[in-house]
Amino acid sequence: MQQVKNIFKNPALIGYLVKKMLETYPGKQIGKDTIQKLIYFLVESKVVYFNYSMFHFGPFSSEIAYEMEYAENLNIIDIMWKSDHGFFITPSHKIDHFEDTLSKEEKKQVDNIVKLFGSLSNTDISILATTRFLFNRFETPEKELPMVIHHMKPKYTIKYIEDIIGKYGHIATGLI
Amino acid sequence: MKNYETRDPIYGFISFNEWEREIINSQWFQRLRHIRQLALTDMIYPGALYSRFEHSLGVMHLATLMFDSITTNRHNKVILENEMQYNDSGLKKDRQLIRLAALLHDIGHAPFSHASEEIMPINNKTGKQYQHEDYSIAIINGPLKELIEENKFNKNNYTIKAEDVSALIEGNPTSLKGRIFWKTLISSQLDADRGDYLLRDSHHIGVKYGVYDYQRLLNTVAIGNDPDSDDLILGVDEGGWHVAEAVVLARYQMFSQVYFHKTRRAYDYHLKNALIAALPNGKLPSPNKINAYLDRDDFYAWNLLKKNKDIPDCKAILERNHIRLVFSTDETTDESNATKLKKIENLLKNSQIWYHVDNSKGVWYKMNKEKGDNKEIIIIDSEKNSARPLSSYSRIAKNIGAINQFRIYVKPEDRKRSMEIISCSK
Repeated sequence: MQQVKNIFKNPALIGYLVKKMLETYPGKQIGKDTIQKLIYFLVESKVVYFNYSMFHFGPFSSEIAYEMEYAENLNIIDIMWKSDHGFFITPSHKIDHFEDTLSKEEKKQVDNIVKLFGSLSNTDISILATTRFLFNRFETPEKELPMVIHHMKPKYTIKYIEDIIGKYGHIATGLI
Repeated sequence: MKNYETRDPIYGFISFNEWEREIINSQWFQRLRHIRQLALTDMIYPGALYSRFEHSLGVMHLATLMFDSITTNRHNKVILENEMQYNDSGLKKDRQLIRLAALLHDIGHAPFSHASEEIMPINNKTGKQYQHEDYSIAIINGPLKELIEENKFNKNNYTIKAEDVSALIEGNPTSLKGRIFWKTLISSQLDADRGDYLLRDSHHIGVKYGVYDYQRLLNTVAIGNDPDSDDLILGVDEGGWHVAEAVVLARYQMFSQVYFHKTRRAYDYHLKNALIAALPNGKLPSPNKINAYLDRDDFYAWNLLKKNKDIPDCKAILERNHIRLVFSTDETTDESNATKLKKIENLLKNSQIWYHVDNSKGVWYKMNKEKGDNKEIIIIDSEKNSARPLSSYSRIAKNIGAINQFRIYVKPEDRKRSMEIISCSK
């Protein structure tokens, strides 16, 4: 027999992350992809556990996508689509109500991820999450990382990806 | 190279070449004839008896149709040539690679498919439970390696390695580089895997919930850019958004009516516990003992259940006397539902009634863990060079959210008393 664990924890985590991002960086576009990648860093920091798989667009978790939909159903977040710009996720009216389901430590870790990566562009966050996944899961040699990522994201040059990894790669790969 | 054909209830005929035939005829692929696609779903839908063998052939066929449709479309071809530097011979080689990956994507399934995934051992390296994909990769790079790499036609034409096939299934771009894009045909919100099982499950079970117009889907698959991330994605041309909507609806209906059917879930519970009790060490062998694992199929598991018929969960299956549903939340569990759930749990506990709580989330996670599922289907307007999510076209797609439903089951003999207790508490 089991008592059901707090079922609102995951959507609350997503809501808190969105809230913190917008409090810290007002006006920033938070899309579904950005949430996916920021929570991936939380997984890598051993704060939460979600299953991620690699796709050509980088690490992606169906579980997070599911929890995002659930968070929207619970009115913790609003997900809006704006033509030619993409998704805009904002906190909804129930966010503060559900926030208490998170521990102080969990909130602290979210704050830390927001501080480390929140100021970067969504593309750069995606490049860094992909770097971390390739390095960790597939042991892709460090030298090959920019070229492999360039093939996955052909819009970005090897030089651009090298620069991002050069500037922030140590944070992404050294989370733990 | 000689070509062969076999009849198929969904597509009429499925063709394969001599090389693929050698792989299909291998004992490792033939094993899939003895792995049921839908575990014990036949306890509810007697027709649900088909195997992973049939499905795997179907995925290879559908993935090929999708690939051919994509690569013969002028708009898509321009993107493939300009952004991914493809030429005709590269596309021909990748067509074959995709066929092999699609054919073999499920080769590592355990007895009774997903139902026994929870008894896979822990990977000491990652600390996480092995998944059927880990076994698929071990089989492709182990027993099947020679059949893939030493084939004369392959050596003379493609030089496809076993690692290329497993990398496409696993999503490892280190050696495949940009070709990892094609994983999208094996595993994504619009993949051939789901495309096939929705149709095939519906056909065998005798329901229409999973039926969609796959030929229209084939006509309209398109490559574009995800407006959210700017990455290349596989979507559907604007003219085909209704068929994309039909796929979303089919997925929802099949989930609620079949995969998360209350009685099927009861048997998933019994099957898992029966196997834990009956298997040596309560676990399946790990991927590094792949030959031992390959000996496990549904016949092996069914014999175990019969040999251990005194174990309550084995008995429940053999006598079709499953745990019974006494309470269910709404499809989206909100706070009031959660409070009710807790209250009923406490009532049963205080009355010393054994109960089991099931949650749809676990089933959804399990079915989609390696998929880019829940990533929205993107509708591509190739003339305007723009893309939008399906939910901005379809109110149905917008409103079909995540199902997060909880159910409480009790032993059959406690059902009446539990219902009385629950009903008195209202």
